[in-house]
Amino acid sequence: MFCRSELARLAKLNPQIEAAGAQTVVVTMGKPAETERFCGERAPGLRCFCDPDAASYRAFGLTRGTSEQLFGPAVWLKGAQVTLGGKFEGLPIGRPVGDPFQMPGVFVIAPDGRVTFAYYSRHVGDYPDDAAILRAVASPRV
Amino acid sequence: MSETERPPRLHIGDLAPNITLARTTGEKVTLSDLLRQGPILLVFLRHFG
Repeated sequence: MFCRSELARLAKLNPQIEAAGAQTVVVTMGKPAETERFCGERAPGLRCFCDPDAASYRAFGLTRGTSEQLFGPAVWLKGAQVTLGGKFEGLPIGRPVGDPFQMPGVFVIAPDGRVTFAYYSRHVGDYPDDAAILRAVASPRV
Repeated sequence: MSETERPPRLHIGDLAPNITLARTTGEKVTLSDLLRQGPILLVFLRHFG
């Protein structure tokens, strides 16, 4: 659910991200054909890349989630907010592709390769909000 | 990696690892390749389906 709603949100936000001079790079654990289909349907304007082994996730310090991070009350609350908020991009939920326990994360990388923003999700539905993303890409350190 | 091992987190100012990703065409690309076009908002999605 959250992957779909997050991708749709990023697609809507992407013009502002690009206007700030940054490029959005989305990484999935799907194989190339799966990723092309998923991103093509949900966010055709975004650049999506594949890492079926999740090696890049580990390289960025992203772990597999705990039961609390995967199924805890905060996850249910966020799921309800996404659904009741009319953000049905996350539905219907299909067959999982990739490690269902893998945690997500968001980073901003400056052209010199330095990390200028690092967000490690507290649970599987937790992503930085629009304002935080736009602040991060507009950072003078970028 | 075992279930108990936790990869170290990155912090602001750290040099990002030069990861290799695959385009949807299958072509490989590194983070440093992508950075030649400017700063990157790098989003690692959870599984999809």
